[in-house]
Amino acid sequence: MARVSVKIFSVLCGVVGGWASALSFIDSVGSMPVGAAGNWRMWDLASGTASNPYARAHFLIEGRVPPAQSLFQVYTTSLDDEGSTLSSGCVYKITAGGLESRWWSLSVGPLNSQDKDSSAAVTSDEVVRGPDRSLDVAMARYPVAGNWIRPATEGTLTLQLVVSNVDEPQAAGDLKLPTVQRVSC
Amino acid sequence: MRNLYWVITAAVLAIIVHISMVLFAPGFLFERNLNRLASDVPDNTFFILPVTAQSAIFPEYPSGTVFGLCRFNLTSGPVTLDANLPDGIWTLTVYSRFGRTLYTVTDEQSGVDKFSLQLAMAPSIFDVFSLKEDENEIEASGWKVLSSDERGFAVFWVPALDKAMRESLSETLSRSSCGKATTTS
Repeated sequence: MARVSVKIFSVLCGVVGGWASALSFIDSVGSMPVGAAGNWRMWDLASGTASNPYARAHFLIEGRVPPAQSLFQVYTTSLDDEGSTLSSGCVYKITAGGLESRWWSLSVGPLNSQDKDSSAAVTSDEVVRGPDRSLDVAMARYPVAGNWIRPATEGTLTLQLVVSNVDEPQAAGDLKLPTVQRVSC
Repeated sequence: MRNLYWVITAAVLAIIVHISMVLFAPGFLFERNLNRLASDVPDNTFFILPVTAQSAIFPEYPSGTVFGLCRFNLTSGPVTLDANLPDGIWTLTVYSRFGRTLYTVTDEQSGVDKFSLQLAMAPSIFDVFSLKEDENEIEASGWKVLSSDERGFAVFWVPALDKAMRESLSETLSRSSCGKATTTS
């Protein structure tokens, strides 16, 4: 009986250990912290790197298409600058100073395809900049004057920044990523 | 000694599960998702991705963005992708069925908005050695992508200034086509 238990325990340990380590590696090895506060993560899809299969798995496992690294860079964060989790119940001010790429998009997830009124993304084509070309975007469930993105769902949120590399590929350290400050809750 | 055998078994099993979870499972999960979203579209057919399907596989992009897709199958020969793109920013990415980037091109790199791209199977090692020199020269002409995987998909990305432009951009992009290459003698 004890021998059978050891066998079952070993097989279970192997399967669960392999599964859990894969999920953990997909997050930790597939992405790397970037930005001043280190809250943004960049999914490194450069071919030939150790991170590539993990970063690719991150997108594919959710049924999403991984962006081509030569065309787009994807950054995500689920934390504000103070390290608190982004929540739909709070209002945030997202400030960027150096987003000068040919095209970029800032969106808040998760999306809700049933929510037709959702304006969960703002792009470089439609954004209104300040006189000094600075950029402020409010993230709130209710309308806010100026650039505004509205979370489509209640609960924990994730900010996603897609930056086009088309004009000139930028190194991860070169891009000044937006700051995310909580205004109120 | 007997316990050591089961510890090694668990470790080997964990490695197998880890590799499967990272390299194989995501590709199959993605393919299943794409099959579900585009179940009524046969292979080698160009189509514009509906907004609901778009938000599932490209959630980082705003809903005004237009994505055109061709799921190619090279088992019965090369496939030609005839692109008809609007004037402005666009990208084309060719992926293997497991999400590996095979080829990318942008509006700035191509310089034209109408072009043909041939997708064909990469020659095997035997073919490489048996190919005559003059055959190689003929094959080198035109835009051609060689894939080691017989199945894959090509994605056109066209951003819109606002949601109202989506329809006209879709109309232009829908003039693109994807089908079995015709052989000329």
